[in-house]
Amino acid sequence: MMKSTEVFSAKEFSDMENIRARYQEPASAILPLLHYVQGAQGHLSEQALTFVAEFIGVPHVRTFEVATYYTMLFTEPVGRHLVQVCRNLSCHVNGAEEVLQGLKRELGIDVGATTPDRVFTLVEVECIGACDHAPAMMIDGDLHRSVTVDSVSRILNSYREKP
Amino acid sequence: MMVRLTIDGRQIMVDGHVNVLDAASKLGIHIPTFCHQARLSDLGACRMCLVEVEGMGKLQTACTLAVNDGMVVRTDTPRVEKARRMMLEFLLINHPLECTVCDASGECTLQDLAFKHGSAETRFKGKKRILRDHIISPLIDRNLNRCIQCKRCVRVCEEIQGVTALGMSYRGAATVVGPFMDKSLDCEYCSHCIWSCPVGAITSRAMKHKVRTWEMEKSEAICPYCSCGCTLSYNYRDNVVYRVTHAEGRGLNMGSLCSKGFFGYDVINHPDRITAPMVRDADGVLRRTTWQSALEEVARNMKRISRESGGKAVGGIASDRLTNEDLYLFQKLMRMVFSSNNVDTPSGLWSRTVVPVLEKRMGVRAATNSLDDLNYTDALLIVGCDITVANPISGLKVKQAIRRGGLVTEVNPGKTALSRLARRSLAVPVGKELALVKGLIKVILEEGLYDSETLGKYGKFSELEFSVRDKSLKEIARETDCSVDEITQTAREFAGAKKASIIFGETAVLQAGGEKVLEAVIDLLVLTGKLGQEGCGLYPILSGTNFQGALDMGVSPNWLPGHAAVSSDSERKRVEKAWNGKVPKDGGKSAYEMIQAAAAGKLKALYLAGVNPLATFPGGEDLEKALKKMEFLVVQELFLTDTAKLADVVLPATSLAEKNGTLTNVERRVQKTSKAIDGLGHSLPDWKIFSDLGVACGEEGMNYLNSSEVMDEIASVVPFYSGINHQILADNGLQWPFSRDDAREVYHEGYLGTRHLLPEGLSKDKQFFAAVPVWETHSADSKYPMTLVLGDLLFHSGSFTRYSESLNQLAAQATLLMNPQTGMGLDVQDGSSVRAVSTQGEFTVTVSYSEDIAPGMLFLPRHFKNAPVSALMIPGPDDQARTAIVHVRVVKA
Repeated sequence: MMKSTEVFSAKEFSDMENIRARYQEPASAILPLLHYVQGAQGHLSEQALTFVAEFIGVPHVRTFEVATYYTMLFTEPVGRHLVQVCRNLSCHVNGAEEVLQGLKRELGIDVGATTPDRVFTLVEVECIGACDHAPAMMIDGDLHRSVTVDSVSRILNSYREKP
Repeated sequence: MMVRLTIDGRQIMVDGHVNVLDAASKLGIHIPTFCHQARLSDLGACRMCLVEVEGMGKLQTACTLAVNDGMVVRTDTPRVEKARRMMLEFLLINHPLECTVCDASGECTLQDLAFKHGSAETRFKGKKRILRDHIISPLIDRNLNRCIQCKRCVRVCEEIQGVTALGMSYRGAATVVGPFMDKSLDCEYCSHCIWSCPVGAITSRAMKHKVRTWEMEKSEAICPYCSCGCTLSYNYRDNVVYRVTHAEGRGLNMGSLCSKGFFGYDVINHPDRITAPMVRDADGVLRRTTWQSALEEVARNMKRISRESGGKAVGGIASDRLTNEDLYLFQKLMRMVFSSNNVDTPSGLWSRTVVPVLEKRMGVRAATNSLDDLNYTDALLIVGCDITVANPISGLKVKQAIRRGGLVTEVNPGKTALSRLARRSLAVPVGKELALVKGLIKVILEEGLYDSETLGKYGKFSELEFSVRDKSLKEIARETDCSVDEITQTAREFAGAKKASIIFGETAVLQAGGEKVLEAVIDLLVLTGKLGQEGCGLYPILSGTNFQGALDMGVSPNWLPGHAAVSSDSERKRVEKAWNGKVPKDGGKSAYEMIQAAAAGKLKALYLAGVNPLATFPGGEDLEKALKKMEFLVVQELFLTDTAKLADVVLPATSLAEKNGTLTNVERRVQKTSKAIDGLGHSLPDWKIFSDLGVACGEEGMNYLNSSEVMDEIASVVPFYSGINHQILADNGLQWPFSRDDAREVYHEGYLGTRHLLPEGLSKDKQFFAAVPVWETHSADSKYPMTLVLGDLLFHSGSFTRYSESLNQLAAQATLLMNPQTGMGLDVQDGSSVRAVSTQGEFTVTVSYSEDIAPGMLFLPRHFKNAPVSALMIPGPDDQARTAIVHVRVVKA
């Protein structure tokens, strides 16, 4: 059994205990816990996945399955800010492709990559539920609606200094 | 509830719980499928089993559709056929058409179904998906491009093996089957994933590109590696066994195998096999010779020594890996031809510690129940046994019980593969098992949880109560490193369960005073009334393949065939009459006593059949000296082992794959094992060598045509085998006692012999409660403070599997396992070298830290040359020999 201190701070561990306590079956906490660790540590390391599995009594491979299934969970470190561009139908017909090209140009990276200064990671996602204001993208938890190629630079800049 | 449904116009009544796929197969209608496999949960993943059901618009997956009364199903319409063709077309978009080099070719479901239903052309012109294709382990290959994502491997790993080493990672079209973090496989190598793969996505590296599946013939046999007695299938061509496959649905294992059974076959055609007899010449060199001259040499010397120095000066030790026929003829040869009762097996020590207690307390000499009962047990107590190692497939049955909600409590000096799954895993120090079992008895007595019928039947508990009075539960808990709550709960669960059994093994019994643990275990069973019925009983488990058969066949210094005492005049006479020969009157020496007698110069000739004492017997250098002192040493073996190198005559024997015979497993089941290939070179089956040797000694009573004839004689001598012959065992093994009257029962489906002993409970002349007065079996002495458990690894069986290259890839070296806490206390780092010292001897070994070992305990596997456990084990007569638990001192090297 792994020790929590090998992977988590005391605060993180206590938060995780609280999350686990919300469920009758500890295994049910798998997604909220992984989500929490993703937020707290920026990605799900092998140690974190191992610990969470043992913490809720499931086989190790189970946390790996869940972590690789969901696009919001990452097993490799990502940038400080995660840029998710929707490429589904509404966004696509309203110019998502141009927006994406603009982001790639502005950040100097391809889809799926992280900027060398480790500030941004750019990914494509399917529908984020903002079809009424397509094209849309999300940066971390923030929704940006009706994005244009011109607004891309301004939006990104507002995040550069953010922690 | 039974329901009636119609499939393809034919009516059938089936149980309401089955699905349409199974109902159809009862009618002989084969619905194609990839993801369905017997014993696994149904998933409906592959969509290959789509059928049309009246009243249901869409096509339905037959494997997940429960039958309904009045249901009308069609499996043969153009719509169904079109759906099948489309599913195959989808699968073949990405599946590489590399059947030419695929090891699964010839037994690939996709290949077969595409041939039957598919189109010769594809409408998809795009590139095939090519995923990284790497090896995930030394013995198991994963080819992701061939994978059709039926999830059978993932389910079998979780649902049958309980390991869950494989998962489905990533998503959608990128989904792949793989281990945690895409790393190398870290698992039990049970081979279930290879078995379950319907295509060539998971295959055995051991036979990669060596042979085509259709070139091999198959032959069913019994696995040689442990006392579970699993049925397997040898696949061979040109007298070479190329692989083992799972015999689907067959045997007590239903086809399941473990790493040893599946991968350990490479010992059979090993290049180092001895293929001709060898006799030491005047220059002291072992030289190849003919059978005739080798046997004459053995006959002359053995007879001479027996004549000159008496039968007591000769002895024989045979492996409990040999068949019943081999073992029976071995003891007959030793007794009748060489006039000696000095016959034993390496597991004889167990027979002499465990069996007398079973006999005294219950009147039985084996496990009372069937292994199948373990599947359905409600509460199981495992004492001093890692069942997943000693008997891996019995371990699977325990895992099934856990999946069904069975409450399993382990009492072991460390964690096992079951610990993660079991209800409770109590790491009780060696020597304190007795205190724990007595603690359970105490709770049951104090809380009145005992069986009320027991009280009426077996009388008062006052003695038992008295024996557990002088310690409080708190004290017991402290001594056993458990909590009061754990002990109390275990006792309540056990007493309250409808079906409850106890497994106990070597760690508990093969220690000084270990039989007291067994006494207490029997007290617990009697007290709670868990005896003599389905699901309630006692399983003494030793891993040696045919340890039960060896006892039944009389390979024992004190027992003749059929557990008849040598000391009994009438029994001896009965056997003498059957043999038309003489049986010596005085009891013989046990295996360890024979070695001692050899050291003292009293034993002059020794016949070793399939045993390698230098690797597995206690004594180290003393043992080697004793063997070198022998006037005449015969070794009958597959390989030129260290012991064989000392022999005057070496006789080449065959492996189990090269002979016919029977083996008796841990649940008293006598099973037929059949020859797959001819003996390599000039090697002969052991029974044949004993027979020929007997004839060479001028004893016509040793002349047998085949092993079946030997079994017929066994049936006439061993009363509880009296109904057994090779023919009757053709389809199924039978549990003894099996008399001639029972023989007609075998035509009833599912009849397997005597499934449970003691149906009437204990007989009145038995001692119902032993009420063991002491609390611990032994404690370490201050000069040798550490308790070392010498045990087995999952991947090896004795020293024999050292010759398996495949199994050596899984484990080839011994390390001394200790808890990090213990290591720090001793100031010994993980990976450092230490000297392990017992009163007998010492050697240097590398330390591995392991959280699985209880603090204060040490574990050392006894398979490997780099840790010659013989040097540490303490020789002596039975009551002094220490072979499973040894006290040692650990010093930095």
